[in-house]
Amino acid sequence: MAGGYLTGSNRILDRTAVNLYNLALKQYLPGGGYGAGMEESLNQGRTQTVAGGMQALINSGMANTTMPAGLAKKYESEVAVPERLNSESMRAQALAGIYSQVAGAEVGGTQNQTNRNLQAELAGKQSSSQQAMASMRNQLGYAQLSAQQTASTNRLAMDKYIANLRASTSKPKIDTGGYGGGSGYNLPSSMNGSNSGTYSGTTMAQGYGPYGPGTYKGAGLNY
Amino acid sequence: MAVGSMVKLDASDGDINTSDNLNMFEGYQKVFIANGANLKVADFINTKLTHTELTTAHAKGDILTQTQSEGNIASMVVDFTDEDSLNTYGYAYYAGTATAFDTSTAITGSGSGTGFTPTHVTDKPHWYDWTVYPGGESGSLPNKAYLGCLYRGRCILSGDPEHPYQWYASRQGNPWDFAYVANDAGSPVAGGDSDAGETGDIIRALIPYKDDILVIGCSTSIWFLAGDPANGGSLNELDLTIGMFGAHSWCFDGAGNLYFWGTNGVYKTTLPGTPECISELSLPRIVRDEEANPATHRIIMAYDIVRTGLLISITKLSDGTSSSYFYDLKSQGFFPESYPDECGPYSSFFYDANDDDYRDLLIGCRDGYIRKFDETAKDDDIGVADEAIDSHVTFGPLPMSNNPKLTGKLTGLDCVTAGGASGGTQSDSDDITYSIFTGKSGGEVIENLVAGTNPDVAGTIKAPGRQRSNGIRRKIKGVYVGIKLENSTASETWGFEQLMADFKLSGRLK
Repeated sequence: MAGGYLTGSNRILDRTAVNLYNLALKQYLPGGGYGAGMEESLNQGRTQTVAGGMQALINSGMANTTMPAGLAKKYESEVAVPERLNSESMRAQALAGIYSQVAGAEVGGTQNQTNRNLQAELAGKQSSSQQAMASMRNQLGYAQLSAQQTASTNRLAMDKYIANLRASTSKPKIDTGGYGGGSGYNLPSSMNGSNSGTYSGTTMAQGYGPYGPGTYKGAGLNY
Repeated sequence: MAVGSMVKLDASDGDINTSDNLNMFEGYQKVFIANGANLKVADFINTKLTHTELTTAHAKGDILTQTQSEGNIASMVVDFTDEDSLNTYGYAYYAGTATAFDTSTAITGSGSGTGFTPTHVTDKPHWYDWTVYPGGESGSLPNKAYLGCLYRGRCILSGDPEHPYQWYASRQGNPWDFAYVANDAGSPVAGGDSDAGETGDIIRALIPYKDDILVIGCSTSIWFLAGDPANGGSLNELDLTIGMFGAHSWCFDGAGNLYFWGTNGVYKTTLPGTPECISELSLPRIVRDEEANPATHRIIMAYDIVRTGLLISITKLSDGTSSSYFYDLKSQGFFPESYPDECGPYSSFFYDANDDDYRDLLIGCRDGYIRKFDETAKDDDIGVADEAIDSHVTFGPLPMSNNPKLTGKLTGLDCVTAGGASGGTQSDSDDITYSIFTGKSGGEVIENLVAGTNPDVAGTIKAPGRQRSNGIRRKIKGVYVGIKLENSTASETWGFEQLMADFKLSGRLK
């Protein structure tokens, strides 16, 4: 039987795991508990078979021949040897299974350590990214707020200008148009005194209206 | 079939002890000889190849090939290699123009045996020691054996002085393998003839009946092995009270009945069956009268198909004196016979030749001749000369009156001899001598008949046929009478058809 107990100090597995595996190996390695019951069973079977065979030989009158000497040999060749071969095959399978588990565990242990290092590195990088993103978000928020404030200021100035203009001109007309909300702020391509003028805003999210967010609808406002 | 000459196997000369017990049996076109320590084989089938000692002998069944030239090949199926691996025996066959093995071309084998170039090639027959196959895996033969037979393809040996209760069976189909406990259906087997745990009886005869039953005749019991010892056979008792005399004291008739010389006479049995003593009534003292001893005597029994009877001969080995009986199966009667000492039967064999002229019972005699019964001969052949046959028949004791208290009178006696008239188609009898004895009791008459002396009257009956002068007119008085007819003249033979006697009441016994 090839193989043996797990030894060596350079094991990936810790000592507890090695001891547990060695306990399992002890069961299956030669001299272990595995197979002891089978030998006892074979011995009992041999005794019974030889006794039964001897009875049959006495019945047939062949007891005083060399035939009884063949009973144990026959049992060995027909029962015990195949049984032992089968047992050894199963022992080999069991040992192979344990050694395979040990190998798997040791490979798995190596991978886990690698994974842990990688995860730590990733975690550090993730933290930096999050900080950078937070900073960017802040900057974007400020920029957006500043733009909205500017737009509001411009609006107020424009309203004031229109009011002044109405006051100075009769029947001034301003057709439909509007502000698109959202992140983009499209100023009218032209703002003139013609009868028609269009704000074509794209369908954006709600922007900041004069009365707070959402008071300007992207669909446009009719005056 | 034609007349031939016997040929001696030269190598056998001095190789057996003819003063010791010797038995032989046929098998595999060989004869196996059990002669104590001389276990021999006369081989009538194999070719022998002599060579230097082989490192590894070719196994039985291997094919040897000697390619003498392209397509011209001598081949051999190996049967046996002697214990020194110097001679290989086997059945030879040839292809192309090859007709024999040569001594210049190498031979290779189909197995693991060592190749060789034969130094000699010898055609059959051969004579060699019976040993197990070399190589150390074929067991061993008993040191000595005096009994042997072939049963179910096994060579059976027994009569081992070291183990007289033991029989040894070779592997089936292999006389060279005695490695017991091989654990297969053809395994060699050795055994005893007894119940479990007992030592067993001394084996005196091995009697195979077809491939079905092997009778083991012992000193005080008889056993039989039914079937094969290694393949479900059984050993059973045929009789635990009757023993068998010896290796040759048995025979089968045409109906499969076994006859043997046993503890109390001549027995007949079926197989299996219960032995019946057939000599008990007619020859109740035959065993004690013959005083045969297995150490000093040989009893042979043979079934004579031509004469439909059994020949039973008891011969003293030291001088050839013999006493024989012919048991007529038709009349179921025993006819005592005795032969010249030179003709003392040591062995017998019914030679069942295709040609009727040669089919007969052969008797191996003490002087080395093989003889047969010849109805035309009038003397016994004792080798360099002939010896007259002394033969007789007795009648009586016969009561001479119908009241044993009264005496009777023989008033006339007439005898018709064999052959009809002189000449003709029937064999003519020669003259017969007669003797008449009387007595007051039957026992007295018997004593007189046995003694053969002082007859009341004696004379000659003329032959052949019925002749007027043969009438005996002399009156003889007595209570019982015995009549003896005989002829002991050289070159004569005799027989009769009818013996007629006339009695008259004579008077009171005084």
